[in-house]
Amino acid sequence: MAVSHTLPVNPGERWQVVLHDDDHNLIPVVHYLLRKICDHNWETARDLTMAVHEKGGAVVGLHDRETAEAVTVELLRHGLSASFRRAG
Amino acid sequence: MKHQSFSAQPVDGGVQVDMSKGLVWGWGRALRLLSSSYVRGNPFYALRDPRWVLTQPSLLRHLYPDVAESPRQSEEFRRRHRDALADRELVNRVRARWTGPRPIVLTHAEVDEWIAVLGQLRLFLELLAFGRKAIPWASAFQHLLVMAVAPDTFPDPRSQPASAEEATS
Repeated sequence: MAVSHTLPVNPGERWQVVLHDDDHNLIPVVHYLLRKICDHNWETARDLTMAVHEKGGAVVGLHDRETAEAVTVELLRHGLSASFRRAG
Repeated sequence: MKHQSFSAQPVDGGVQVDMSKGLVWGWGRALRLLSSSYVRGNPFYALRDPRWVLTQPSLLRHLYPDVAESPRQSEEFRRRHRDALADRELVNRVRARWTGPRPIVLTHAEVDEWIAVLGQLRLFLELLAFGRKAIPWASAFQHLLVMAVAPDTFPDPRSQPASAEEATS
């Protein structure tokens, strides 16, 4: 079966970006990248960083699919462990 | 044993990075290996036996296995974003500065590129048995770069004293 190269779009559908804990990314680096990539303020980035660290993962963004994929790409290419999924 | 050091300090115009010759040489080679592994269809990439190249998973599947709700969606995602996930020009830019003339003074944009490539290199090293010892170094280098551009970054709470008494005891 052929693999699609195009992005299927369903207008109105919301997608979550999830950041997962891992053994190698340091807390200050995660905090910095959440501010830089996800545009969170200092406090929100801190809370999300600790949620990832303590609970194994956290939703760090809610977007349309295209944006969710773009954010996921940026997190991944900085060495973070991330994924995206339909919200709700 | 040779002392290996890496430092990143804010200076006028950016961040000055200093490192030992051993780091220049050793990590420069690692960056070259990462860059060459991003070549589409490289049949001699270390993880792939050339005899079985058609059946072995790609590098990106090793690096980013489960990014979506299903394996098929993950594969589609990797293909859509392959150029960004395996950006050889980015790695080559970082490698050129890493091994290039001294002193190294990076702009903040270049620091962000170094943080990204070090993250990718760490993922890559995880796949190579001989590279795993270097993984904490990549994390440490990222940390030093982050603290140089954003010293107000949230610190690791495990490195902070739990109370004033603990701090002064």
